[in-house]
Amino acid sequence: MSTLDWLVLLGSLTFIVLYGTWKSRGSKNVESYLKGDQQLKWWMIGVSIMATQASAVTFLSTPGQAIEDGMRFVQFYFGLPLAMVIISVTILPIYYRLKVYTAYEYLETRFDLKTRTLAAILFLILRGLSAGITLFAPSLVLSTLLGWNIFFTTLLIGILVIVYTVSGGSQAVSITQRYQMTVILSGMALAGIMAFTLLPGDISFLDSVRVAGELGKLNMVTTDFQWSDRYNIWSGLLASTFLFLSYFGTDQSQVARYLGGKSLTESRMGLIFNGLLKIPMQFLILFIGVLVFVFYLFNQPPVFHNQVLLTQAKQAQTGQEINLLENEFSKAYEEKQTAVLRLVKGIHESNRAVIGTAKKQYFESKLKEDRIKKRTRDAIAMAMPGAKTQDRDYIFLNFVLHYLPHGVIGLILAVMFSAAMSSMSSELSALASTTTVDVYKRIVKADATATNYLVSSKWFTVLWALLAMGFAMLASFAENLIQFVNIVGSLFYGTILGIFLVAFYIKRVKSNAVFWAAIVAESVVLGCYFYFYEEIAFLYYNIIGCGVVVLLSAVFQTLSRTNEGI
Amino acid sequence: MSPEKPPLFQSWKTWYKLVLAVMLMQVVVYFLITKYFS
Repeated sequence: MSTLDWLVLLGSLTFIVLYGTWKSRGSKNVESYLKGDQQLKWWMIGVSIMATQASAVTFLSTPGQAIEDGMRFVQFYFGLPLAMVIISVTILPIYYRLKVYTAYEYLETRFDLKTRTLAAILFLILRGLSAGITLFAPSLVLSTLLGWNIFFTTLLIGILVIVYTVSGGSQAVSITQRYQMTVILSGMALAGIMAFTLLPGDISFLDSVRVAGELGKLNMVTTDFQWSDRYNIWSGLLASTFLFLSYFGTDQSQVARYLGGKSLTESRMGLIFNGLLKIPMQFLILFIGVLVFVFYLFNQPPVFHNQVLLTQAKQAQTGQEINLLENEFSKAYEEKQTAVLRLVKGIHESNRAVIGTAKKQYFESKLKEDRIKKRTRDAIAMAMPGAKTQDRDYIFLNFVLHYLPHGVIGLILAVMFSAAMSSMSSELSALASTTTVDVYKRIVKADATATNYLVSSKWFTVLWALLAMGFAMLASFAENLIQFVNIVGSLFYGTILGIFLVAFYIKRVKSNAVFWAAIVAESVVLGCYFYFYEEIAFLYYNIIGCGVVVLLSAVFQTLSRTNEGI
Repeated sequence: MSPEKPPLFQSWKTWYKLVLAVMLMQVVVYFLITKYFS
């Protein structure tokens, strides 16, 4: 990190925090604090929705996902446009008509207090855990790669978010997200351009795409169906639609974004904006990962991308073994590079025989590399018991720190911090709204003054921020961060969505039936996670949870003797 | 559906069709890229 990097990083973060705090200083009543002034135009809503969903995990983990697994992760987002349309048609007009602060208020109108409270509590658990991961991901990776203490990184992000979120509420979140998104998009675009310019001079853009394609990294649409396969066109179009319906339609961190719109029209257009741009954005982030993959075909990557952990392990008893593994890895890489050069030659000559031989040689040397990497991880685990030996989340940032010029490094770090802050601020604002409106105001203290609710909301924001920071400092278990975020979401979203679907579409079902159906559904989903984790891909939890709520609530209602419940 | 008129088009249905068409077009293009380069 040079002085220039520090200037870019601190300059952009300080500007965003101070501007957001200053611009939203007029938020003086509880309504504007929780909902903003409801003056947002469609593009502001769209940006805010995208910034909320795209956390630092997206930018740290997704390029690494493309490098290891190809671009098939893009299929995860295929259900998003469909979800945007369904929400625009059905859910959004209801929220507007009822003038709700939170999505869960509607459930009391339709069912009763206990169903509203159940959904709110499921949301608080889910979003509270997710806020911890949102903060933990960049804290861990940045602190490791930069040699900072993880407590310092966590505190830095946490405090910056607290400053403007507590001060300006929902309005500050929306204002800062515009600038955070500008930093994020410009930084990632620059990283993609830099990754391409660092390739050897005789490798054209099309060459790099064809090499990536021949080596299986452009697997954007996979049609084979398996329950255990996480990303294919079927899980993307079906299971993801359920996940996104729940996330955008019932998760307060997103509902609050579009309820801040100037009108129903602006909110609808904001959702449409997201539906049009989300898949291309994810495509570009994954494609940056593919370019980094091609870069590492011509430049030797480290045997383990978490260099700090590698260095620490070398200093321990297994140091000698790791040095030997590094030598073996260099030899395997040389073989692989020979195969890649042959592949490029075959592509230039359009010679399928040469391409076929080169690919065979590549995958043989890749297998050797993978075995050496596995032995390295084992050696590190032996030297440092409990250390996180999965290095996929470090690949992209390690590339940035070692190969990109100063100034750009500072900008990419600002991307990570901005993304973490934009997601976390939305999450904290939503957690505070739900705690204030659905728990404190409805159950604990119904007759307090507006000032009391405003002050309470601010304190709840601080409380949730502190809890998220606590989770972040404790969390160190995720195999891959972006997947873990989605797994946590899938554990609860199906049930929450099921409750809302029954509320919207099955008018004959009453409160007791849906309440107990939701309890059973959540138990079934948790059972799937603990007992069938390998057999059923997590995206299907959304369908299972939702399906069980819908079916059982209808059955319970039919079985009940009166319309009042079972 | 709300009586509010959308910008640019006469009805919201056109916007929804556009969103779904763009999504389907991307799926097809990505499928073709996958097949062509593999």
